[in-house]
Amino acid sequence: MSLTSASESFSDGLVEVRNACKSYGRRKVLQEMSLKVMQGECIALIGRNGSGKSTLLRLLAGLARPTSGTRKEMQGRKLSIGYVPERFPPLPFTPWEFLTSVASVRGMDKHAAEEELNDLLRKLDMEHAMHVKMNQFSKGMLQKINLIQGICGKPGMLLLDEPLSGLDVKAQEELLHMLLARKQAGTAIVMSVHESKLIDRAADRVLLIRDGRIAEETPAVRPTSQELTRVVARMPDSGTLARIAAHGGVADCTPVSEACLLEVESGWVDQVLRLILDSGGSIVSVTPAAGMDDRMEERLESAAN
Amino acid sequence: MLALSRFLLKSYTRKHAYFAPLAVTLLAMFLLYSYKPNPVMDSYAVTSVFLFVGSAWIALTFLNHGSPQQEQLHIIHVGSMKRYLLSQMAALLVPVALCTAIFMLYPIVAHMFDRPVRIGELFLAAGGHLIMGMLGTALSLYFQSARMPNGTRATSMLLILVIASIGAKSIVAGLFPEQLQWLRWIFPPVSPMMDVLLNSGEEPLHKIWLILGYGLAYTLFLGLIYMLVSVRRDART
Repeated sequence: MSLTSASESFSDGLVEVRNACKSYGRRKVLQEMSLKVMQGECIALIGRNGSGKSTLLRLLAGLARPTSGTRKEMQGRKLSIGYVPERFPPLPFTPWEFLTSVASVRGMDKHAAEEELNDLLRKLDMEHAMHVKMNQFSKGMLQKINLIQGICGKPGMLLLDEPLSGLDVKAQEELLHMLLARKQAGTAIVMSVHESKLIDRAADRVLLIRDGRIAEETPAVRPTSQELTRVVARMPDSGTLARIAAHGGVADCTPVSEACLLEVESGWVDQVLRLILDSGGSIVSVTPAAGMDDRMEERLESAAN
Repeated sequence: MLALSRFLLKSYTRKHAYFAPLAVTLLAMFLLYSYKPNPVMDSYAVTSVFLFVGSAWIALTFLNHGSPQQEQLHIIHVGSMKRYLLSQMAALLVPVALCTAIFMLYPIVAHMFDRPVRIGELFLAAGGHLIMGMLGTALSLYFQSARMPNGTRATSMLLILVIASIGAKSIVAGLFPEQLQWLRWIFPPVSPMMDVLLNSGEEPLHKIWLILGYGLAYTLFLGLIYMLVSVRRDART
């Protein structure tokens, strides 16, 4: 893939935390943390709940100050940051009211901002709800607005706390594409994740956080062509679904809301796709995937040890 | 920053958190003017104290109306904690100005006074209301949940301070010896401002403006100290 080479073409540092410790009362949440975020790179933070990932993101965002150690922006000018918190408050606004206000607060040009917001709302399938009050939204819908407020304005650094939380399969795919595009354009991304899908396809570095420290740093491993491909498709009926699930090369078949998720061996993908279409089904998405959750399990296992 | 102030005001009004303090403040004014005629400056002195109490309450509900996540997003969007705090403070001037306009105009429009209001009195009363309102707001800055997470304790302490500010003169005169009477100047200067507005007919004009100026300086000092101690705080979590 060309994504890695694109990120390698940027080499400027954006933010650096050095020997940073963060304590809340007697509780030490981060200890001697040092991390430099470079332009165009994507860093995945993994680790168990309470390991310090969210605190590290807030530290990078400048929302929390280190109890000791330093946080420094390295470009001389103010770094524009997009931040997606883990929970988004159900505000008494419509997405359009809220997002245009965000654009205005960020100082974006009104016309350009409206164009970008329309595009993001369409991509995340939220156009139908753009004028509905957000206090009536589901968790997934709120998360989409959360992501849009973070991404809009093309920030230099994007900090994401559990970005896939609550998203449907299609939105997860769309988000992945948007993040990859932003990364290629030079945006640095630091994300706390539990799903390996994002790590395997976007991350350049994976940091395992344990007890407030970086316990391990590994380069991300991308799936090879020999691995499984993930196909999301809608089937016309259960008979077709059963037939395709039993087809050669289909390693797994899981119904997901109105669609179903197939894991297909790479050599069989064309045949399986043709069969779905010939049977009257439709393809939602096709993505390379390969036992990713197993790898995530392994990483978290090592975090526990 | 002004865009964020606008958003914060919209967010506050949509959550209807302003209703109780505004209703009680207006109720107090309507009770005061339940009969007529009324003396001009005496009435304005009393309503300026109502505004002090009302704006402290309004400011507290305003400062606490958003969730920690909302605060985090605002700080990121506006670019720094300093800008966020200034946006909040700018937004808080709006209810003070609106209430001042209501308190100034209602008795004139409803013919509640015993005589026409002179232009000089109008300026004095407007200054008094604005400064009293801003002083109440400035006190609340220190009792918001970002500084005092225990809401009950914060509200109680603010209430005690508000009462002590209004009764500072009598409290100090009754409890402290002559040598310590200067202590009344440590309290937020509500009682001296109320005194000069009540006695504006007898007091020289420069003395009235001097006391109001002291109230303004006290308010600005509170705002400055608040900025210095808050600009380095973490966003709420």
